[in-house]
Amino acid sequence: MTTEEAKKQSAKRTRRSFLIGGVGAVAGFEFYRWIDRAPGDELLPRPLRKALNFNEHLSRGVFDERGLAPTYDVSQSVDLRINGNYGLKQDLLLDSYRLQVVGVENPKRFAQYVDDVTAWNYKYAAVEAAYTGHDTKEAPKPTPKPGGNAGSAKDMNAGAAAGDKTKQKPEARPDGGAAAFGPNASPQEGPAPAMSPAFRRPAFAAAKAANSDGRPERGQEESGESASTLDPNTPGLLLTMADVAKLPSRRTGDAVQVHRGLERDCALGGVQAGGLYRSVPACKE
Amino acid sequence: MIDDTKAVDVDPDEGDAEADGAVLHAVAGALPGVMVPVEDEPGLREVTAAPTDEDTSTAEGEQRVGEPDRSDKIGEELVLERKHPLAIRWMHWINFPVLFTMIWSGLLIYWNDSDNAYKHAHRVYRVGLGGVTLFRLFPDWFYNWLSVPFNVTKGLGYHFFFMWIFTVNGIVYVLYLLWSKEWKFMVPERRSLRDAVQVTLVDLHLRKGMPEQTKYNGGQRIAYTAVVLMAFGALVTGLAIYKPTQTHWLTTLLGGYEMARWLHFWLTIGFCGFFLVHVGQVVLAGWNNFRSMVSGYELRRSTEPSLEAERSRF
Repeated sequence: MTTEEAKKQSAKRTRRSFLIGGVGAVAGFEFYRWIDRAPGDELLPRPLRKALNFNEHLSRGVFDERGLAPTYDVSQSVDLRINGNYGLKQDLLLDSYRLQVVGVENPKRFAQYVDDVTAWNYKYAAVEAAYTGHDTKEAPKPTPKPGGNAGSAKDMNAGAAAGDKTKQKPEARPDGGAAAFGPNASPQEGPAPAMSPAFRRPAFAAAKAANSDGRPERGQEESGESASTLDPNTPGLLLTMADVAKLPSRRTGDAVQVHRGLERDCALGGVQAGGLYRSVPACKE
Repeated sequence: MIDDTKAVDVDPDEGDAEADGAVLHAVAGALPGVMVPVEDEPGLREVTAAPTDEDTSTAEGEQRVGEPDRSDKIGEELVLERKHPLAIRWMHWINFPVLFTMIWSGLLIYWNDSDNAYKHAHRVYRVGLGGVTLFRLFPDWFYNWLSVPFNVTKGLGYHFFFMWIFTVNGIVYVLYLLWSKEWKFMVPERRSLRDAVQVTLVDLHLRKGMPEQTKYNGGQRIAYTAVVLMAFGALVTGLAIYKPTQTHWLTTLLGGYEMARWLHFWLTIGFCGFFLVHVGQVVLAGWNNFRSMVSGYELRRSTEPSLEAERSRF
């Protein structure tokens, strides 16, 4: 093969390969675009959501559900980070705690049956923590030190605003947080208002309207009405904390993973959601 | 830097030309050669690649004015030789966007860090020594430039999707290296470390004379093998922080969650460093070398050692 022949052949191969490479690059680009433009499934493009579901199923198949995570001495623990101030802005009075369970087969056989689970009035402590926005990354305690685990868990909201508790009417909150109270809660009622069945519905609608793209402001989505919010007059069970504690439980890892709401991995006051499913047969997945 | 005024190819001294020939052979891989300006074309042209270059303007057999045909001058024929097998080329180019997707989505996740010390939100890791911190990773301008903040959901979605492509591609790549015996070109030899030092010094223009090599020089052998091991490390540390409870034995083996996470992060920075050096060297090595990762074939002097001959001995 002479130099000229080699060059000619090289040119031919180069042209062909770059053509194929170009087609491949376009295909790759389309693949990315396909993912990015796929319709959303729970705020994530469907291919990505499907991959997450696949990973989840695979994990359940691969890892032993009954396997115990290692345990450690309390002295080795550090404070857990508070993910944010979403959700309850006030301390719930534990006596008024009820877990709403619907979809149970023949629910009337249970003593906890009520005609409308959404009618339950949750009661809150009067004092409300100052709103500190989403994830502040501030220490829950002024001086977090390894080994100390006292009182950080129950102080979720107050933590970031330690020493900054103000007795104010919730309606006076500057961030539109009056949303914490439903239509039944009139400003005159003052402290300890009742939670509306339609959890903050008016304010949620207001937040929606306030944003041009039809979605609530960032950070408000999670504190608003969720897709699982029940319609009024939904029959079901109302479980007290004591009821929940009686459910079969088992200790699993300390790492509580809540990716998609209430899942098996989600520990609920020490009770595994899986135990709940088994006790309430119709709830099974 | 490079002495741009000295055109190697017009050096009348025959002995020098031969010495250059040795260098030329050595840099046929992904290493910089001596650059000379070419009058009729903007930018720099590389001597090593130039004789083997049938770029569009000369492909039709038209001799470029003022540039003698070096292959004729040195009296060597050019031959076309297979350098990179098809499978390696495909996996190399698939890995490129996939690795970047992993790095980018990893950054989105990292931003949403868990800074248990509550001191440096979004900037858990730093560069410094002892109490002295040079800088923290990453500054706000960097995050904003890449639209990183508040995208952890997207980050997790992409990370846990593309991890499969990254993993499968990587495993198939390693299996192919083993099956095809191409690994023998790539794995460091006894002399590779010494060669790598020499290659680096030549690159920095502190020394002359590239060591003998076949497909890859010592520096490349070390770098390419290292990056495969790094990818394995990224998978292992990634699994350890993805499922720290289920694979607690692995997490513990790696020094605990925080340590595994630290390793995962710095391996990623390592990939970025590899990428910068790799691309820089490919640019310096020139078109003939770059093209071979697309077409698989490279023009080489007939007097240079044959890769195919080497392959047949594997």
